[in-house]
Order: sequence, then C-alpha cells, then structure tokens
Amino acid sequence: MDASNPNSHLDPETRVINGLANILKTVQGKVSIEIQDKEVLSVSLDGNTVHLDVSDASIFGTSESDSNLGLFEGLKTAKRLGETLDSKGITLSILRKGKKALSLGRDARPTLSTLVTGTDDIQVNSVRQVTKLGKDIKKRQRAKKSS
Amino acid sequence: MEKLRNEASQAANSAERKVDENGSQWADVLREVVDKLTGKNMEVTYHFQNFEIDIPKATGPQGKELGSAKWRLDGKFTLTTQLSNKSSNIE
Repeated sequence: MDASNPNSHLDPETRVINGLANILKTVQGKVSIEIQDKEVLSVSLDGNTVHLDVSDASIFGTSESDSNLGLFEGLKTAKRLGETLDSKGITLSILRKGKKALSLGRDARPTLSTLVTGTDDIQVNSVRQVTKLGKDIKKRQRAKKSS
Repeated sequence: MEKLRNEASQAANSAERKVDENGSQWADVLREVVDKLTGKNMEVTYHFQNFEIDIPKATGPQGKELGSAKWRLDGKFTLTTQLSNKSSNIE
C-alpha cells in the first residue's frame, strides 16, 4: 500500500468517483453543451447539488460498440455512485429535457425503487422519464448500428 | 441443503457477473460522451454561466505554499474539428 496516498487501498473506480465528488464540491455555475448548434447536455452545480439535463440522448449513442445499456439495467451499478455522493453530501439529479428522472445521493428519497436498486441513495422521480431516456439512448444506438 | 447452497452460490455469481457487465456498459457510455465531445468534423460549443471553480491551497514542489484561488468563467467557446486526412489525425 502507498503510505503517502490515503486512497491507495481503494479500487480505481471508487477512487475516480471519490475524486469526481470532491471536484463537484468546488465548482458552481452552469455549463451547457451544444453540438452543431443543438443543445445536448447541461450541467448546473451549486456546491451540493448537481443537475444533469440531457436534451439530446444522441450524445450517448455514437460509438459502434455492442453496448446496450438501459437505465434500469444500469441502476444497480449506479448504487455505488449514489452511496458515495450521499457520503459526501452531494445530490445528483438527472433530467430529460428539463424533467426530473432520477436523483442520486443526499436528497434521494426512494420509495418502491429501493426494491429495484437495493439502495436508499437512488430515487426514481419519474418512471416515465427514466424509461424515455433509456429508450432515447437505445434508439440512437440502433439507428447508428443500422446506418 | 447442499443443493440449496450451490444454487444460492450460482445465483450470487450470476448477479456479480451481471453487475460487472453493467459496469463496463457505464464505462462505454462515458467513453461515447467523450468521443462525441472530441469527435471529428464536429462543432461543439460550451456555454459557461457564472461558472466558478475554487482552487484550494496546496503545497507545491519543495514545500512551496501555493495560495487558494477562484477561477470564474462566463461566456462561450466553440471547438471545431475537421478531418483533413483519413489516414492521419484530426486538425
């Protein structure tokens, strides 16, 4: 173990998540990203809360890999992210076109979704928006594969 | 009893494999976002609104104290990439 690095016992993924959470606490404001004059993503930060608004899911579906991630399928792997954010006092809200779909971390108040995710740190705000976001991503990946 | 234990063990292994697969899928999605933002023949515009980064105090090389700072960004920048030669890199 590297004595000079207190995080050296952590696995690389946890170190990345921890590092990201620490950076998020030092940043405030909003960044929006346009591709070819079309807004695809915006991130708003206020120290403890991060809003990630996905306007155009094509940003997630451009490679020709065989990845077929659905958001519900990926919820279990988001568990660790939710737990880390909660331990750092951060809330991450994922929105689709301005409508809240998922919350992870401190302010997540799950009800039935605990049964699916197995954690108290992920709240499904809107099953409809989560499903639509997952479909947007898959649709984009299918379109890319068939072209 | 032994059979039950084996079945439980198989189910646990299967769940672990599934989580590992999903983990790599998340990594794929992140890679795709980065690919898109640095893609070829692409115009990407970043709009910064009251964007502030707190740079904490740090100790630099040879124990030199580096003071804290606040960086503020307002405005936009556009990154345009153009494919000039398919066999080489982007411009």
